[in-house]
Amino acid sequence: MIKQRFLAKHRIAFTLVAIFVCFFAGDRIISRQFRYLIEKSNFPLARVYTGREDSQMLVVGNSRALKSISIENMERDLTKTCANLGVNGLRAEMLHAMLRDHAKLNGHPEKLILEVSYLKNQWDDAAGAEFLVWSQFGLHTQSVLRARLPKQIIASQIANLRMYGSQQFFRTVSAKNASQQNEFSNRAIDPTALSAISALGDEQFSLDTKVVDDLDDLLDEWESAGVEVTLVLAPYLDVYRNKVTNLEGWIKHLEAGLQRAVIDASELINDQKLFSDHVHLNRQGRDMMTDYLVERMKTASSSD
Amino acid sequence: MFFNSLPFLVFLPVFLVCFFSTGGRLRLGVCLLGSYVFYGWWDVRFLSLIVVSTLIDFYIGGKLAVVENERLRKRLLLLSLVSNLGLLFTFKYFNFFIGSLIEATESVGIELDWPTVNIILPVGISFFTFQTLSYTIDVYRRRLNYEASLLKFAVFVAFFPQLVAGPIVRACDFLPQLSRDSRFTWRNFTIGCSQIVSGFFKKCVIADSLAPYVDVVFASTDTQSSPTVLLGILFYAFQIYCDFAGYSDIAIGLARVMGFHFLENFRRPYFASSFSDFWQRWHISLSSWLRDYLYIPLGGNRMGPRRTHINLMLTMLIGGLWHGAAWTFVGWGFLHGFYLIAQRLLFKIPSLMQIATSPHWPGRFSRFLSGVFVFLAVCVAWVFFRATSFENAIAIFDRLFEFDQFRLSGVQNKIIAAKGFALIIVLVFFEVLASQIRVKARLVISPTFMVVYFCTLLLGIAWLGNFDSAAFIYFQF
Repeated sequence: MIKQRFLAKHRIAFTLVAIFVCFFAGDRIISRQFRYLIEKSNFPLARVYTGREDSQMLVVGNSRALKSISIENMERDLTKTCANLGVNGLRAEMLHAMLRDHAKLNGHPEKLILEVSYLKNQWDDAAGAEFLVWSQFGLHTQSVLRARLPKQIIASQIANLRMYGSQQFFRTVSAKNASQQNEFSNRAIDPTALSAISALGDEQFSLDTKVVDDLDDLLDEWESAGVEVTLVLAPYLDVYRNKVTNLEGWIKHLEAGLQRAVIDASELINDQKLFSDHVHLNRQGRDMMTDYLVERMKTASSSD
Repeated sequence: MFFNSLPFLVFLPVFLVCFFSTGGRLRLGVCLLGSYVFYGWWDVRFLSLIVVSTLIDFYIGGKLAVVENERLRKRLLLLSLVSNLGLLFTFKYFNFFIGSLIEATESVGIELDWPTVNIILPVGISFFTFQTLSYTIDVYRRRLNYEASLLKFAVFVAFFPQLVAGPIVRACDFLPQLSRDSRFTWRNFTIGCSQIVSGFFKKCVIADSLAPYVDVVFASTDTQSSPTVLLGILFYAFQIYCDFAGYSDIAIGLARVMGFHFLENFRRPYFASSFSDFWQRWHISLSSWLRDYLYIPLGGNRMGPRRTHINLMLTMLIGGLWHGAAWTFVGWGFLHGFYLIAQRLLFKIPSLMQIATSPHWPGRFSRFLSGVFVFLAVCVAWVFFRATSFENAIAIFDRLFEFDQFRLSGVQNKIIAAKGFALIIVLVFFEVLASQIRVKARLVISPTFMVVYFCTLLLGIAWLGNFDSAAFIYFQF
């Protein structure tokens, strides 16, 4: 009776406490379930960050890496297992952190193929926030996000669910198989899109020397661990390529900074039917690009 | 400052403590100061505008109360209309009309060299000018006593929860509430917080999740496939609803926490079974304002069908222009005017009316079909509302009907699309549930319901909420 009166009198306080407790309990329980889904997922980055990625070859870069290089063709022609870790909009700091975390969690692969166009883009908070979900697994990734997105890191520590709102997480739980590559259609670029690209102004690629130096250090570490590194620039649609006024100079500058050659495939494909848009190949174009890359890698191996 | 920003999270508790710790004139002073801080956060220069508008209408309201001469009263009302609408015209429409005039004259070979002015559009100007106009018009019509206290009137004009994006609160509803010192009650606090949290869920989770998809579709229409464009239009319909209704919920909830009762501004508009029903559910404060201060004074439906149609079209055109200084908004208003007129003409057909009003399955089925039709027609109008120009809107419809790529594989980002769909289903489910159970009553009497309600929404916001301080769409109006 006294207990009931006490509860009735303090009903509001108890309700507020119940909301508080249930919110945080719910947050932790649901986050734990989401983490379990990640640990079971076959999505490439889920495998990397949970220490289950043991492919002999890695393809890394932004969406151009994802769409330009076919892992099936690489595996067939080079007879080594391959994973494509290309991520839409991936920025340099994040990519380098991901590779360092890969080395720590999975060791080093035999070969690393790096599509270098990601180096021209500046840091982007939205693109970086996509990696919040991985920050709980990788120290280097977490360190970059702490420096770049401190508020989001703090928010995700208060409410763990904040880590699971990104496209990366949704791709992880929806990935039916190891590769995203069969998502991509064989659609050719639309004629109306072509005229829109023709109307674009000139563009210049930029290169941050700090980022290049960091990449140089990273590649030194990986090469000293026995990894064979291949740097490549995937094809651009000719109409767009001609707008980039400093492309040749950009590549030379990059090669000078890294003291390594870049396979310049930017002019490899001129058939517009092999592009899905001005910077991405379609499936047919991807197969052609992969065949070329495999040939170059075989030539480089045999000359070594 | 935005509701979904850190400064507001700091501002609100400080304000509420000061609000409930004071009473009488001091409390009104706190309200006014808090509202001016909130509004001045965007740009302190905006404050001069709201102060001028307040002083003009307070003075005119006072004069209207004492002046008996009808001619003089009309002149005072005209002064209020000219000054309020003049401010609105100067800041919002001047460049638009000059630019349109120059384009029109150039098309017939006449070159005009009239200057445009470099003016920032003050946030919420469309809302507070309509709000103050409602006061002077009601005082003129003798439906409302004039407000003798400048402080109270200033709070009515500048009250921060609804200042920048509504709802447009009537003086007859709000001024009497300002005269009472509301106490803090857990009932008001609970119901207010539930509306605030629900508003944040609509805005930060649903609207901001749909926005990236919509932005890409409308910005680069040429490169999109039909399914992508179709989804973009559908998503925009829900984005604008959740953005605006979300803001209204937060505003009404904040006011409720303080003990003020504002009328609802949205009532499940996409469940409307006719166009007139839609306008009784969508932005209710604006549509009722236009009805009471424009449509009815023009004659309403009392002067024959032809004049009724003209009045309807004029009201909707002005309603469209109110939203923004662009012909696309006028186009949007025109479409809604057309829909309302077409509906009136169709409802004159006796057999159609018989089916539509039948309580049996033909009636229910026809109401369902008409609901679907109304929703699709509203979505078509939204294309003009969202498009940056008529060319952009036409390009959208062009791409929509390019049936050569009508495959789901044409959807550019399936993850965002799937997430958008899931959120729309969640929204529809909650709206249907809310219509079946009395949420507010249950919140107050059932602690379990309260815990489940708040935790569900807060967890959803924690998981999917976007807090990049994305502005509410209606701030631009």
